[in-house]
Amino acid sequence: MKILVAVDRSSYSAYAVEEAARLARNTLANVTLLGVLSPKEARKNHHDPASVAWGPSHPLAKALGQYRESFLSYFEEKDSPYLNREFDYELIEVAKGVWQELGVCRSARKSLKVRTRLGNPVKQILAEAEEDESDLIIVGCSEQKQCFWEGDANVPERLANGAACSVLVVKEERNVRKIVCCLDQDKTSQESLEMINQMVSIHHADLEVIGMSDGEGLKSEVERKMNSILKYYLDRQINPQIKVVPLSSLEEFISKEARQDLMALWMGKKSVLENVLPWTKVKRVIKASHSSVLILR
Amino acid sequence: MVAANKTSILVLDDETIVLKRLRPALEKAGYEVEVFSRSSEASERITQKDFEIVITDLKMPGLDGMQFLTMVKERSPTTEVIVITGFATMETAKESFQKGAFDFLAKPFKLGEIQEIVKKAEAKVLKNRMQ
Repeated sequence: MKILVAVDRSSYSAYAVEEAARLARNTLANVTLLGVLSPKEARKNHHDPASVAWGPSHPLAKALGQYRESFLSYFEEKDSPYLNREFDYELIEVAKGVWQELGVCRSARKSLKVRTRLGNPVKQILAEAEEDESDLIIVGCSEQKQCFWEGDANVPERLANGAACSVLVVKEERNVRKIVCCLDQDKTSQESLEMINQMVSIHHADLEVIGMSDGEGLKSEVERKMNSILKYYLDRQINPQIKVVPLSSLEEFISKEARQDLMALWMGKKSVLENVLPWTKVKRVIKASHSSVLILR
Repeated sequence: MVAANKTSILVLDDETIVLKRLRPALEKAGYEVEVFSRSSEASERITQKDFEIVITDLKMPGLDGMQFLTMVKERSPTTEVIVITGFATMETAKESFQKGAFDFLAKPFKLGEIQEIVKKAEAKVLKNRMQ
């Protein structure tokens, strides 16, 4: 699993790093901590408008260093999959037909990269996720309705909308006791089921799977799909609660549940949920939610 | 006809969707691949052949992935075993490595990520073969 943790200097980013560390401790994921420097921020207090005031003393670079240390502190040194232990020399082709003996360290089982990109935060985070083939983007967001992301307050919502992979928007509340999962009855990706499995394992949380009805109860096709999802979990010794919610009251239901539980919403391109719950409403759910929201793809 | 120098891989996962995804990708990358959705059948197969790489899920009905890992390493210590799981925990990761797993990969993952691990495992297999 590859996790991209998008951070800024706000305090909620520390919670996102914490959540990523918790997930990585169990999954041994390859992790990238990414900070994005907006061009405006990069040139602040710099006389030459074309140059970038970027370096180790920049506040974002310092914050990234702190996040890295905080992330690594979740792992005991002897067990850490991110620590390099053995150095060796290896011949590496540095240009076509040119080899150089370079000191390499290959013993870390998994990678922890700390990166900074320059540009629009949403575009840069999505580009990093695509290039690195991330399975999950984790991003922090304040509990208040207004997020304070530098340069663009809507970064978490826009990431959740634009990413090709799943996005976990982490709120400051961390104790997840129940995961309420609105899975699409028509097309549920294997990746989304697997992501839910990992979340249930990590948080030792209960799982509630929501089916949507049109008021006449579950139609046979929907019922068949819900049964197959139920069987999938029962086969894996997870006993989910199954609940049916009328489409007409889905938004209200989600808003209510999002106050206390981790809300997982399947929002694929062909998702039924995306039709009945327009993106503007999902954005409201993310903003209004007191707990974390997982957008599944 | 299968080329004699192809690296052999056995994949065991009770979810056929995983096998359907992995088999063509690994074959395309030049490996000789056999897939099993039942651990009993995979256990039988490893008594007939020593695979160079084994990819196994952990949570399966019957013989689970951890037991299968133990069995593989007992029979063929040079086989590199990659553990894949949808229910990763720190304990299962630790146990896998203690039992000799080459790597541990939590689901979901992209094909590129597992192919990279397989490549590293293959490099180790080839290095051992030359020694």
